[in-house]
Amino acid sequence: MVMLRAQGVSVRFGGVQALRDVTFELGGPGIYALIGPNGAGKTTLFGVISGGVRATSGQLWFGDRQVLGWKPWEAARSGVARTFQITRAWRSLTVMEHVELAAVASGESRGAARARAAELCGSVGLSDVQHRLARELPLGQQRRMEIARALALGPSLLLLDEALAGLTATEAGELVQLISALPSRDICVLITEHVMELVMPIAHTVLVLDHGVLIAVGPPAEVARDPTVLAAYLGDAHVTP
Amino acid sequence: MGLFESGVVSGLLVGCEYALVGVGLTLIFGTMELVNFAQGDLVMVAMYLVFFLWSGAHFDPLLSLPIAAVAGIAIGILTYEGLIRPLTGKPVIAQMVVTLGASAALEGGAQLWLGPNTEGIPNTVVSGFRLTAGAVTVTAPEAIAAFGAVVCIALVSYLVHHTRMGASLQAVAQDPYAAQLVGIRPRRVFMLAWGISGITIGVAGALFMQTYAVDPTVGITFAIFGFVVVILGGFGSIWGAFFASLIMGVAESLGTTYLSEYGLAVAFAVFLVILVVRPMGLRGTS
Amino acid sequence: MTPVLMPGARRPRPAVVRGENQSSASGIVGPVRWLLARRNRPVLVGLAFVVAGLSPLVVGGLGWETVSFQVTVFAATSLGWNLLGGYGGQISFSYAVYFAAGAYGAGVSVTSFHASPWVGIGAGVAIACLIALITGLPLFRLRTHYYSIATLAILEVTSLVVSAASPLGASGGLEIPITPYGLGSLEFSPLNATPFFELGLGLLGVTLLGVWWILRTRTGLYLRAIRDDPVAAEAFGIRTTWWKAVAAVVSCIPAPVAGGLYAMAALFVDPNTVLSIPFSVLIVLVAVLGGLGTLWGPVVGAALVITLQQNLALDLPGQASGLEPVIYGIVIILVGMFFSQGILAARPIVATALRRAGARVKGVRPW
Repeated sequence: MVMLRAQGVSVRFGGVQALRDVTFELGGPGIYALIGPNGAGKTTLFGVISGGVRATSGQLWFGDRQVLGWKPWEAARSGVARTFQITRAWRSLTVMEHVELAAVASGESRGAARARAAELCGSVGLSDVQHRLARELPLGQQRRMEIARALALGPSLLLLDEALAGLTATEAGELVQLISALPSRDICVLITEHVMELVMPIAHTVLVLDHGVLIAVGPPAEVARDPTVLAAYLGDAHVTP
Repeated sequence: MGLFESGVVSGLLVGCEYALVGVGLTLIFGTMELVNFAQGDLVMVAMYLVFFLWSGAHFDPLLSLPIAAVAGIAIGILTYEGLIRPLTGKPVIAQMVVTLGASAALEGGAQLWLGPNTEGIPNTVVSGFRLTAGAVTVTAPEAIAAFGAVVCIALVSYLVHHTRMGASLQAVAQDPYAAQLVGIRPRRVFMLAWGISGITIGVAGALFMQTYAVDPTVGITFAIFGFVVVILGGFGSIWGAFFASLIMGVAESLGTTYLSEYGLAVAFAVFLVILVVRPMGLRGTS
Repeated sequence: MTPVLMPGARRPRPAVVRGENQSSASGIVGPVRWLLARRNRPVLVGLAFVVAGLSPLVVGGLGWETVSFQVTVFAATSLGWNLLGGYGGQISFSYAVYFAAGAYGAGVSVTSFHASPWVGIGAGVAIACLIALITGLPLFRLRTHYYSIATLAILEVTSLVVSAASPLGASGGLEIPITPYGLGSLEFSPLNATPFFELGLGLLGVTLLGVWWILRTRTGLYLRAIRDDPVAAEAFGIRTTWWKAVAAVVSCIPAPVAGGLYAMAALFVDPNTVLSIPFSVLIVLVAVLGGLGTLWGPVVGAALVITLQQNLALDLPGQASGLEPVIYGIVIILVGMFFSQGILAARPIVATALRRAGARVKGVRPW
C-alpha cells in the first residue's frame, strides 16, 4: 500500500513559488531522503505534509485519506510525527516529560505513557539525562530527544528536518545508526539533508528538490549520476552534453 | 432622524480625539511590543497640567498646547527611562504589572494631591461658537479638538513614515536584531518612540481640556478605549488606530443616543464582536 | 542548580534517603524529619490545614479571622488564575468578572428571589464558565496581548452594564438583607467571622487539591507545553485553542465561589470594588508575587499581599483615598521589576542559606 502520495502540490508565498507541481509517492517502511540546496523548498514540503503550510493547489493522500490542508494536530494524531530544523524543546519540561507528552497525546494513559517514555529514552541513549530539562542538553542530545518524542507518537511516517545539522561527526554517526534502525519498526522515514554524503548510504530512495521542483527520484546510486541533479548542485556549466 | 445624524457626527469627532491615545499606544506597541497600561493616566497628568496653566496663569488650552506637547515628550522619555528600560528582557507579565502599577500610582497620587474633584475649563477662547448644518450642531471646542487631533496624527504619521528618524523606528519594529547590525541603537529608537508617543499625550491633554473635565480617574477610560482601538486597527498601525477610533466613537455615541448609560458598553461590545469575527483586527489578513 | 526557577520547572530532586526515620529515637527530630520529607508532603499540608482550621480556637479575634478569610478567598481565586495564567501563559483580567458573577449571584438570589445564596453561587459558577468558554474559544486563537486586552474590555463592559443595572443596585451597590443565620443562608452573627474563615479555608483546600490533581493529569503537561512553545505543541497533536479554553473554563470555577462567600461576609457588593481594574489586577498580582506557575505561589502571594494590605489599614483597591493607592501602585511596580519570578523563586537562595546555617540537621531539605 502507498503510504503517502503527493499529486501536483504547489505552494506560493506572495510572489514566491516555493513548490511547483510536486508529485511523488512513498511506498512503505524505508528511508527516503529529500535533498536539495538551501531554499529548494524542503521545509515547505514538510510543512505541507505535517500540516501548517497551506498548499495553493494539488492533492495529498495519506493512506486512503485526502489530507491536503490538514492541521498539525490532525497530522500528529493520524501518525505523522516530525522533528524540527531548529530543535524545539519546551522550556520547562524534562526530557522524559517531552516523550511522555507525545505518548499521552497519541492516546495512551498516563501510566503507560510513562513506561513507554522511559523505554524510548533508553533506546535513544538518553536514560542518564531523562530527568534534566531538555533545553539544557547539548544539541546532539536534543536531537535524539526530538526523535524519541516523535517516536512516542507511534508514527507510521516520520519527518526528520535537517536532523543531522550542526552535529559533530561522532554525534551524526550515532544518529544515522539510530535512524537506519527505524524501518524495522515499520516506520517510513523522510529525512531532509543538504549534505548528500550523510544520507546517501542509508537511504533507499532519494528525492531531489531544486527551486521548488522535484527534479529526480530514484535509488541513491542512480540519482547521484543524474545530470540534472549534478547541475542543481554544481551549476549549469556541467550539464552540457 | 436628526438624532441619528448628530449621533454619528459627534461620534466621529469624539473618535478623532480618542484616536490620539490609540496612536500613542500603537507607536510604542509597534516598536517594542509593549502595552502601556498607564498611557491614559499620563494623558490625565497632561490634562491637569493644562488645567493648572489655565487656573494659575490664565493660559488658554490652545496656548498651552505647545507647552503640553513639550512636557509630553519629557513625560514619555522619563517613563521609558524610569520604568520601561529596566524591564528589558523581562517577561511580558512583568511589563504589564509595572505599567499597571504606574497607572494605579498616578491615579492614587492625583487623588492624594488634588482630591477627587472634577476640574474643567468652562470658558476657553473658542467656547460659545457653534456650527449648525441641518439638524446637526457642532460646538467650536469639539470641532477644534477633533481637527487638532487629526493634524497631530498626520504629523506623527509623517514623522514615522517619511523621515529618517521614522525609518529607524520602523527598522527596529520589523527586526530589532538586524537594525542593531546596521548601527541603529535600540535605546535611542525606543526613546524616540516614547518621545513621539509623548507628543500625542501632551496634545491630547490640551485638546481634551477643550471638551472634557479632568479628574484622577479619567485615565483608565481613555486607556481602555485606546487598547481597543489599537487591536482593531492592527497593532502598530497609526491610521488603522485612527479609523478604528472613528468606528468606536460612532458606536459609543449612537449607543449613548439610544441606550443612554449603556453607550460605552455598546462600543466595547461592538469591539468584542469584531474581534470574534475578524481576530486579526479590521485590516489584518493572516 | 540554577538559582532562578523557571515557572513550572521541575528541578531534579535528590533521592530521599530511605529509612531516614529510623533515627526517630532522638525525640522530636525524627517525626519532624519524616514530615519534611518530600514524599510525605500531603500529610504535612493536611496537618497545616487542620491547624489553620483549629486556629480560631486559639488566636481568635474578629480582625484576625476577617483578614484570614480574605487571604483564603484571594488565594483560591488566584490559584485558578494561575492555572491559565501561570501554567498556560494566558494573562486574563476577567477573573474579577467571574468573582463578581458569584458575588452578585449570591446577592441577587437573596434579595430578588429569597433563595439560598448557594443557589446564586451555583448560577454564578455556570455564568462564569459560560463567559470563559464563549470568550476563550475565539480569543485564544490570538496572540497573548490580544487576549489580555480583550479580557480587560470584558471587565469594562461588565462593570458598565452592572453600574447601570438597577436590579443589581447599579453603581451604588447591592445590599444583602439579613436573614436567619445558618449554613444554608450563609449568614452568621456579625460578631463571629469564624464560619466564613472555615468556609474560605475549605474552598482553598478544595481548590488546591483540584489544581494539584489537574497538574498531574495530561492537562497540566499540555498547558506547560502550550505556554513554552505552542507550535511544537500543535505538532504533537495538542489542539492548543481547545486546551486553553478547557483551562479557562476550569480555572474560573473558584472565583465565583470565593466571590459569593466574600459578598455574604460583607452583606454588600458593588461594581466600584469587585469590578474595578485594581481589584482585577490584585488577583493577578497575588499569583505573580507568589510565583507564576507554581502550585503554592498564589497562596504565599495572597498571605503576603492581603495581610500587608490589611495591617497597613489599606482599603481594598477601588475605594481610593489617601496614600494607600499610591503605596499599592508602587508596590506593584517593585514586584514587577524585582520579583517578576515571584517570591517562591527565591527559594533556592533561601534554601542554600538555611542549609549552610543548619548543616547539623543532616538529610533534611527545608523545602
